[in-house]
Amino acid sequence: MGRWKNRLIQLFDLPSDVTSAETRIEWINNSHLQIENHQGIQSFNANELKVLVKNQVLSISGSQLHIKSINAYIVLITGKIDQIRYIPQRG
Amino acid sequence: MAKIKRLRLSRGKVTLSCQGSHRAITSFLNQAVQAHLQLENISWVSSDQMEFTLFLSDFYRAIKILKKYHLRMKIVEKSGFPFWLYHMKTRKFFYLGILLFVCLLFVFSSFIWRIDIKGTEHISEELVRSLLKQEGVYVGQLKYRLKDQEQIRHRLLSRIPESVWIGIQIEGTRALITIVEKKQVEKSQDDLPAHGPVHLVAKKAAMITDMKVEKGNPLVGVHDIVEKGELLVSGIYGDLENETSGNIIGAKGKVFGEVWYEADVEIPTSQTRKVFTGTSEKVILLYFRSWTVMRPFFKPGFKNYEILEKERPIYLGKWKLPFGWIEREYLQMKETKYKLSEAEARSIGKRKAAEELKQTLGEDGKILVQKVLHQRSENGKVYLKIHFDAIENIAVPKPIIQGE
Repeated sequence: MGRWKNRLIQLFDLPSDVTSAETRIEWINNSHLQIENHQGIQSFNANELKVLVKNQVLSISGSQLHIKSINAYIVLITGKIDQIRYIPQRG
Repeated sequence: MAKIKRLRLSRGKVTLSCQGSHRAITSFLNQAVQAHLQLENISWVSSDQMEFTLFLSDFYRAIKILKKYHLRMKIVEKSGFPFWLYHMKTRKFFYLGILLFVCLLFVFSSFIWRIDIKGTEHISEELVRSLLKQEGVYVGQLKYRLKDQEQIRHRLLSRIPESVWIGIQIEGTRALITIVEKKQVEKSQDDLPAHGPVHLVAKKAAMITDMKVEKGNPLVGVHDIVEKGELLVSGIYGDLENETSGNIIGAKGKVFGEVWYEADVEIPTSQTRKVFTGTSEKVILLYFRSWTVMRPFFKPGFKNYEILEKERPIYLGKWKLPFGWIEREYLQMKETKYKLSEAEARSIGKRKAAEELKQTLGEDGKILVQKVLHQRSENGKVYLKIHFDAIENIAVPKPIIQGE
């Protein structure tokens, strides 16, 4: 199924984020951050938030971090966001 | 792009606080999200306590998950429509009372409670009231069952011949009827039977041009010149010398005579006139009833101005609310001075004098000839002496004293 899907996407030249479960991050100023297609929260406090995405960990650090809204697909984070980075997986 | 939906008040929201280990709470979060619960405003209160908001409909599912992780929870806040509904149910009578109050207010304000009649001096109020009742305007009538006011007005006007104008105003629950009565024409003196039969005598010296005698015995003719006080129409038929011989009938009629008038007029030749320049400034003021919220610091950028105000009340449906705003416009004025030429001053003076004379002549009067006798200008004024030939009714009644 995954192969066929990828072929279709290539055939019609579709942007990959609308069609599949790709991670999509939208960062508005340094105050709002919306992550689509997340796979859960690994840890959360006011200064650091770790979100699982596509078998990787996305670390968001800043201050006064706050999950404004969350559902199975999207998480919206507010606060003063300083940096976002992928944490390299061991192994 | 996917959009996250906000929690809506219409479905009811619950804010929960849960206590437990950091790990357990994080696991709960993931579990809840996996179970397709939507959470909002997640924040740490302390290191082992977290608050979040969710839909009321998700509440029991959330509790199940919380129990699984042995978290203690507390309800912090409940808001939204379902809770209001519950609140209302427990205080049923309070809200029923409010509803009843509003309904009663509405019902009672839709009746006419009072009819005030203004301006009746000679017309009896009872008559007006009974006529109004026939038109469906009476105490206890529903306001929306009133007929077209314009129609009522017309019908009343035709039914009350003594009235000139009738205004109908519904002010809340009061009907205000304003009647303007016909001015009781002071019966012209020759109609007055108070003194009994009269003679007609000359008011002033004049040459008679026309006579309209309804009753009586005319003693003068057209083109006669009469003195002041001269008998024009006798109220006695028959022989004048022998008063007992004739019938005393009384005289009635009009005698027109040509009378000369002279008028002095003065017209200043320099006059000022105010002209709008076209520049204007606008301010908006709020008002409540008769209080206007003034803006003391506003001043138009010019000194001479005229104020134009427009009231803009706010309507709620068909009800005019007691507040709104006023658009006040300051229109700049300019005074322009201009000089009249002598010819212009003269024509203005002539017109002015003629108008003044017409008022003293009365409705029967008429100006035949107007002539400027003398003209002189001095100290910025033009002085005119004007001669008029006018025709007016010179007959005045004089009672017949019997046995004279």
